[in-house]
Amino acid sequence: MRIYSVNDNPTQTPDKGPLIQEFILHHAHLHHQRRVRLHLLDARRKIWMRYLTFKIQIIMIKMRSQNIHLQRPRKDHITIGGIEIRVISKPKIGVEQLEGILKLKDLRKSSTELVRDLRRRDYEREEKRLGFS
Amino acid sequence: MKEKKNDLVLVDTGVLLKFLLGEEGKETIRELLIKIVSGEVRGFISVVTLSELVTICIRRKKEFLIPTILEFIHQNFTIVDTTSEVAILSGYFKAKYSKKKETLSHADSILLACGFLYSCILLTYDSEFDKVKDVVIQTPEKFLMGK
Repeated sequence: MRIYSVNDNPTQTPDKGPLIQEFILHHAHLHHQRRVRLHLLDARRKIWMRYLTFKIQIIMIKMRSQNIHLQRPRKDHITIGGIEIRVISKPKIGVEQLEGILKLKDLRKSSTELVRDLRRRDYEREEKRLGFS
Repeated sequence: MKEKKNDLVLVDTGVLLKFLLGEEGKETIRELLIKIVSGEVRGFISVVTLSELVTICIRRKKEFLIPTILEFIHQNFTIVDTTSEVAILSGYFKAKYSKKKETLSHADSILLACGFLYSCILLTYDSEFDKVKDVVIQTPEKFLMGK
């Protein structure tokens, strides 16, 4: 499973098309992989959804022409330079994946202290703002 | 099957954080989360908790974990927004429980309001909630003992 980025707005980076094609072909053909992940650009909001990864399946590889274009025929379906890609689902995150995920070696505060500190500071500011202290 | 009232739990930030930090007692939280994921228990989370988790992740320089944590929450919990009903009720709780020696932050009072409106048990380790009588407050250990 490899993660790579795709800009779904062809007008912004048309030169990246061949690179994307090469990348997908590399994984789909040379490594016989049917599933890859994409980082997609949210064209409407013009921001990279850097953290939003899709699990996809290449359902058809068709080299149509040298003109690279990207389009979204359907909601969960994109075409990148003649390669159709379907979004299967977002990866399901298991409980075990989260256990100790924020653990650091130099842990000074417990979870309760971290939350209480956060709220106590807010509380003091709130009281001041409301004119009670 | 109709949901029983005691199957609804509002999970406080500290409870999730204990699991995420891998602290002692994480096994209990794991058991609770497994019940929530399986649907045996219906988990609620306030937007306040989402905000706090994001803050803590960023402060610990682990912002790259935010999407994984939020995705897990979206997949398995019902997220309770701060609607006008929640806001008004939280104001009532804040005034009621913020006395001279007692404190209740907006975050705490919003959690209480969410728990009250959705008839949830508030699962927390925070002793600040000990004085609260309007919502059932339990630790995850106590909740799981009753299951």
